[in-house]
Amino acid sequence: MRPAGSPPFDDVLRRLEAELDVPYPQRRELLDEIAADLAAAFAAARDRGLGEAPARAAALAALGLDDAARAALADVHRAPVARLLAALPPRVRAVAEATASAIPLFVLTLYLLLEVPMMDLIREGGWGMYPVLVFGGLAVIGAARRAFRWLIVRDHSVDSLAVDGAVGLQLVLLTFFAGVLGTGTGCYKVLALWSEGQIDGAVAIIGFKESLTVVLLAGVLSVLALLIDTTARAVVHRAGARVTPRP
Amino acid sequence: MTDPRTPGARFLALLALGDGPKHGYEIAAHIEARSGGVFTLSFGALYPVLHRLEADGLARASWRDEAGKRRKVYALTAAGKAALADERAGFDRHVAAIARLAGAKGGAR
Repeated sequence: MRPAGSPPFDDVLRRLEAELDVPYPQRRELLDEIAADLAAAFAAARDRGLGEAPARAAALAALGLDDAARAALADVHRAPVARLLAALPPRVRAVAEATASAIPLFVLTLYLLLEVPMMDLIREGGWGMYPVLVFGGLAVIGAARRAFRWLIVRDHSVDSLAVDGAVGLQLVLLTFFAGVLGTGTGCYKVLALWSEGQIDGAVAIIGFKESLTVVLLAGVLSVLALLIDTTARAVVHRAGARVTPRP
Repeated sequence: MTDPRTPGARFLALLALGDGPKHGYEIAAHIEARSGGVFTLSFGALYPVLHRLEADGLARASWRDEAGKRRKVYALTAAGKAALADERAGFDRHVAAIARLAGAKGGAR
């Protein structure tokens, strides 16, 4: 928000918004603070008898938000997890980030292992489970990685907020349609065996039930990925950040 | 300390706020005016100092309307006032020590 009557520093503020390494919503408040102080510096320069352009130049000179000040601001507002990660060697940091991103998938796997024996689920679903697990796993990890960066590390840099949304959506669709295909081929096989009289109705029903596990797992993974992604986007949007498509 | 002749920006900000609540530009202007131009800080350089004071509970920030304009104003908390008193006492000791050293040097001539 620009204070009423403030001079046009919008170009400077837009540039600063892109350059400052401060998470939202603190970045938005800092920009409001800078806008207010620039307006005060501009008004003081005008009171000293300067024209509009020299007064604007004087206000910008008085701002003097140099690299050292920006780095100090980034340090003040750095999230504790980001501080911890920054202290790690790059390789360890990458492993820690990847591990944190895999937590939702790990929790889901644990749930499936406890509630439904995982190997039984895979055996029932047949080959169709493997593409579902691969694509669905990638979709969940991708969404969790963004959520971890935005919500836990609070990295709201332009690079972090630039998202290739098409890839995420493609993975979700691929997961779901791989599930549909797996279930479809399973049902087709059951119907073929039933129509040839190789199995009776009771066995066919079991076959249909087993075939459905593929699309069910695909649905669970797709929904989980979309849920994580949508929540992360909603939270950063509410904080004032803009998620942009990666060029 | 990079330059022993220059008090830290934190101390200068605490001194300015000790004189009453102010916004960023006002603090920078106050420091320059009261020090007779000896100490000059851009208000951009003050933001990390002020935000740190706020994060450490030494200052409280609030948005206020001043003559129709919104300003983020900082005021010292009780802990901030205590920190200012500590820094002031430390600085006074420092100045007294320098004065004694300068006096001793003068006496040796």
